[in-house]
Amino acid sequence: MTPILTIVGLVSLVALGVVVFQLRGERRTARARNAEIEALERLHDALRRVHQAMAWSASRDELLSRVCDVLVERGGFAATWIGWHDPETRRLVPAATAGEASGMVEKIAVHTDDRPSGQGPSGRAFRSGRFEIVRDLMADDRSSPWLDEIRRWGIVSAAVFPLRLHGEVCGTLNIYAPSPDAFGPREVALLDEVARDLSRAFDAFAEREQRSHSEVIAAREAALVTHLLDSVPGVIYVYDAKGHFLRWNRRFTEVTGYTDAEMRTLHPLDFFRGEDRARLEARIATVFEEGSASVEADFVTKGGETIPYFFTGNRVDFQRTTCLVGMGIDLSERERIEEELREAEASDRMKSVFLATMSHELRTPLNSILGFSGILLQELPGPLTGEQRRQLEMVRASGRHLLAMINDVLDISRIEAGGLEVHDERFDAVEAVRRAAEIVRPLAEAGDLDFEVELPEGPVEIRSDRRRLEQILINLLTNATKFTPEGGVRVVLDVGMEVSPGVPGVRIAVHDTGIGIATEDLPKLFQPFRQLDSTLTRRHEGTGLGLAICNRLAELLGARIEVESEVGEGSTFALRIPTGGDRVGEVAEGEVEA
Amino acid sequence: MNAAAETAPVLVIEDDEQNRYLVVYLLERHGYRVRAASTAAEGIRLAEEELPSMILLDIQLPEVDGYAAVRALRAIDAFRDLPVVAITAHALPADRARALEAGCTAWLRKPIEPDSFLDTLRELGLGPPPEDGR
Repeated sequence: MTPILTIVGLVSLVALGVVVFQLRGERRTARARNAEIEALERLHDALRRVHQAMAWSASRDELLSRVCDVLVERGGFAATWIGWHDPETRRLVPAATAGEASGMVEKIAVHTDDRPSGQGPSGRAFRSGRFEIVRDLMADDRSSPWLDEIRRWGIVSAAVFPLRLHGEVCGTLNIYAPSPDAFGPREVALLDEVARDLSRAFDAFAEREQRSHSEVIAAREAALVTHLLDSVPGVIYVYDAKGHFLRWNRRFTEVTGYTDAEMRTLHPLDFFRGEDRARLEARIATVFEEGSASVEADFVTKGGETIPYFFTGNRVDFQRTTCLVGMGIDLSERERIEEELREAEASDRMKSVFLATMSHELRTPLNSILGFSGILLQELPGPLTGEQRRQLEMVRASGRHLLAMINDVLDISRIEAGGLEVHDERFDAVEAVRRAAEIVRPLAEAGDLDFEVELPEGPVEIRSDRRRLEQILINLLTNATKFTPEGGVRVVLDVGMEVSPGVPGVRIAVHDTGIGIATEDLPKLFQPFRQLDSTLTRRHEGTGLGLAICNRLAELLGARIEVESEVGEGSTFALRIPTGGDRVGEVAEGEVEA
Repeated sequence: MNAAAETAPVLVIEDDEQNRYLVVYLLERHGYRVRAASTAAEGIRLAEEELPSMILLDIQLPEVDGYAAVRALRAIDAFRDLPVVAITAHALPADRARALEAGCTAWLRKPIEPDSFLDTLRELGLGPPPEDGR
């Protein structure tokens, strides 16, 4: 504002000088001269206040209203208003008014085009871009639309000055006086200056507004960039070809432990040592020569700690210098995960080797135990007494139990390691159930149990792994038989069931009238080595792995096992297995692979 | 003596003393002539001398293992079609595949079932015992 004000002030003084010069040359009477000097002093005072208003007004609207006030109060005019052009309505919209007669402004509509309400002095001044003076409004034909108002407010003359923004007329300064002589050449010259000064002030306001708007945007952008840089989970930095750091994110100082002040004194190679330094130097050179490069290196902190990092650098032109914009990612987490994976794989391999070794080492002595007890029981070396036979059979039974344990442990380990192959074949589920039932039937009959098999008439073709299905069924049937002291075991195959919503399947249920399972024990049922009642363990020989294996096999087949039981009444173990249609078969295969 | 000399023996290659004794005993009690070795090298030497009708081969042997032994045997023309049955405590399916790939005719896992062992061997090509074997 200050330079503009100075210009405005100088121009105004020159204008005042012209007026004074004219006054001297006219040789009026002393009285008339006094009156004119008084009027000029008033105007001069008004002008000074207009300039003050320009200096102090914070906004354009405030300036406009102060100027109107000053012209009325100090300049002695009846009314003043400033109209701002609205390009849409082509109307001069009052932006500020002052003076008693300003009530008139609210009543009148002034336009800028050549309709009747655009033919008055304001419309003419707007269109021509020059000031317009009307000594007698009553006599001015073109002011006829406002005749009533003019008469009512006692206005006689008018002076209208165009206002400009960036050189284009944007509004008018409208001044009214109660006498025809109010706008002599001196007054007009001064008021015209006021209008010009106002126009310059508009430009200054607009420029300031534009600048502050840009500054706000720039500040917002800068804040966003800082937030972005600081929230990236890596270090980001910019340095020039000489290695002076220009910018770095907070993560950089957090990781390295240096302060911002220290950063300004450091060279990029200060963050590396040993062989890394030479490699880094070469890669930095590559970035400046070829545009980009990356490198893995140990980042050295202020405290001397090293952290594995992966750096990428790109050449950019920034602040009129060629710079390297780089980013570094901490690799220690990745290296830790890789290490864990290696350990897990090694431990898996160890487990496999251990299991294979255990199996081998146990089978070798078992070969002797089962082999020689078998030979002795065949009486190949000679006849046995009844007691010897009974005891040898115990040796053989224990040996077989041990062997079953070894096989089950191997089985479950292989299932868990994903090493179990599952076949995808079409077969008759009825036949599979029948085969499993016939294997277990002798065991049930030996225990004096009823053994019923209820199967549909025709074959029921499903797509799954026949051998694994039979393995599950044999296990369930054997369990049912083992844990049923009296009554019977019944196996039922139902078709048209669902494994889960939308997955068609068959349900193979094994019912028994056995000892049953308490509700609280059901969750433990499928865990390895959990024969529920340990006192039963001796009576009901088993490895304790059977149901765990069944459950895992069922999962492999996309099937599931349901259990219903009541203590003392019996249990039902039901296998729901997908029939594996076109669509479902794919699902089942996918699950198997998993 | 003549009959025994004309009858090819069964060769058992097994380093575990008890297991070797078990198999040899079972075969001999069923009337077979048996020769036994506790290493692959000794077994191959015996095979060349005795031209056995079948070899029962343990896999985990000292120095040269059963896989290498069967490959060495198959390299000898006389043994190209000889039944060589792996009898092993290496009981995983992968072990079976490996034994068959190396050249074994069949693969039996330990522990053996004494009641059915002889029947199984006969299915695999073991001839009847010599008339006067007992």
